[in-house]
Amino acid sequence: MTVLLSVLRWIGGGLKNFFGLHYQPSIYAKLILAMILPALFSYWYWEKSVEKQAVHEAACIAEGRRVTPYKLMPLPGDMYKQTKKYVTTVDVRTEKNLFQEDFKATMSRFIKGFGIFATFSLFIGVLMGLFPFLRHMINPILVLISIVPALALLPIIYVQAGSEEFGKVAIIVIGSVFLMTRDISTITSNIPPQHTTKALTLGANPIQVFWHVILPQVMPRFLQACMIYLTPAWLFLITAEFTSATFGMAARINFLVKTSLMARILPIALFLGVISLMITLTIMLTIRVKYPWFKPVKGGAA
Amino acid sequence: MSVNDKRTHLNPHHVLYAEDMIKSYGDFNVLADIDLAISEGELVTLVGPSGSGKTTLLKLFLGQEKHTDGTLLLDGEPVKHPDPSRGIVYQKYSLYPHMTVLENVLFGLFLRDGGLLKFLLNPKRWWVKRQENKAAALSLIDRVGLKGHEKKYPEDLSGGQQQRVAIAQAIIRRPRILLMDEAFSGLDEFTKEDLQIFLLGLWDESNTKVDGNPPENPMTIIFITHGLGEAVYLGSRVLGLSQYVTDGREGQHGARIVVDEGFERKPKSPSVKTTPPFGKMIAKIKRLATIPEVLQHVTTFEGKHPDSFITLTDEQKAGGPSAT
Repeated sequence: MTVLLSVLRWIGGGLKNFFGLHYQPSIYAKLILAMILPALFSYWYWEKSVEKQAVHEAACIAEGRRVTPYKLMPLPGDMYKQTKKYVTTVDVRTEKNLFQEDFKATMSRFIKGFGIFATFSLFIGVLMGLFPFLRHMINPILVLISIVPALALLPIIYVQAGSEEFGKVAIIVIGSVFLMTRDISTITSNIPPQHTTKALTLGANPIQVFWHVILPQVMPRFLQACMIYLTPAWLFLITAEFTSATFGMAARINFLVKTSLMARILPIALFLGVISLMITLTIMLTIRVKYPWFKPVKGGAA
Repeated sequence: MSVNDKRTHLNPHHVLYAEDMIKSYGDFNVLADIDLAISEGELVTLVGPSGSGKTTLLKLFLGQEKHTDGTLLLDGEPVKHPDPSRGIVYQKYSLYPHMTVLENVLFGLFLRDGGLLKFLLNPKRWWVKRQENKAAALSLIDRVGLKGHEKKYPEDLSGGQQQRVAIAQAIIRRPRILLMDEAFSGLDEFTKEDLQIFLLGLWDESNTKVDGNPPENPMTIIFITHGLGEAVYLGSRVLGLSQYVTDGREGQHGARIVVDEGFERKPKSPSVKTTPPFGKMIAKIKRLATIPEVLQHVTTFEGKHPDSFITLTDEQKAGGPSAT
């Protein structure tokens, strides 16, 4: 108890302050607080996994079967073995490394889909924000389409675009493009009109207004919106791969679900999470380095 | 003679000229029968209550909006779209948040001389111009008292400093008219007075004769404010706009100029604010521009609050060092 109180005192000025409304944790305290839940979860998982493994082993011995690892809650050692197997396996049909093929297929779809909808949203969104006639012409359609859940459009897209690569990329694009275009349009129209007028009084033509005044102010907010739309992009990619794909990280998970081989499924899911995290961190770093004047709004795109 | 009688005629000294100018939105007249002639080098303050159409008038001067009827001329030509002949300083959003102080001030010159095409056509000239423009911008930053702040972003500056940069940004291309829309509103009184003195200094400098010759680029300033004291202190001419006064004609609603007072064309000392004529002028404008019902009748500002702990020495009572 004394140790706990000392720790609490160290991380935030005593127990009363720690549970208070005005508690302001230090950087170390923030780190410790952030690690508490993952640590508790890991501990629970480890205990439960060891327990289940023991029960499973006992059952195997009792039934006279060969002792195999417990599939549903694998231990880190099993996950390591399965991951190693996955990254070194060569596909018998294509004679190519399975992991590399899956990774290439997933990233290629993601980059194409994300690239297309982000570029389209930026271009159309800025134009809509700049020109009211475009905003009033396109926005009602965007509102209407974005109300329809994108997954409901999946069969229509597959019928129209086919379930091949084009269809998979199309579902990623259609899943986010309407909402993101509306966001960028709002971001652009929120730029004070005084900035435009001022630029005109300084001798700018409309292209210079766009290039020197509007675009630099939209860009960091656009990147911030990209971070937010990463999640739906992954979601639609995984859905597309689940539905119909031979190669791809999510397609691999889909195949493994039939075997319940969690020792391989979990590392793949974790790997997808790491990729997403790396992209997010790269965008955050870009915003910080390239747009030092920009103060991001916590928890919002704009 | 009524203030709305036609009394001015366009002459070459008039940088801005309006006659029978009307601005309406649908059936609603915002401005009615505006007659106005502003000469080169004047510092005109335009004062009026909220909703009297001050900002609408500024937008017309700027060319951001078009008048509905009548005449509006800039240097004898109809006012068109916003261009470098008119600079503007707003109360907020004058500066670009993504540009540093230097980039903000330099922006007008960059738009004139920078650009990829000019670089491709003559890289050497482009480079020389770039260096000249940078030197001009740095000199102007120094003149507005912000040397050492060149690399800062607007957000890192105080409100007063931001307005200094905004003025530098607006005047770097030497506009014929500098329009200022409530530029010092929202600042604390000390900063406001500091900026007022600074603006008067800039204006005086641009209108001072050099070796007996008339100034090369006399700066005409139109300063919009809702502060009567600020208007009378800054202006070499005070225009009062009011929507409460009509000439009785049926359907002739809309704000009009009801006050047009001229003073000596030189900066006033801040101490003028405490003189009786200054107070009388404010009272006069208020009387002319507002409906009598809204005028308050406070008669004295003397005396100390009975709960006050402040004790004044004889010297302080006589206006010496501040109270302790």
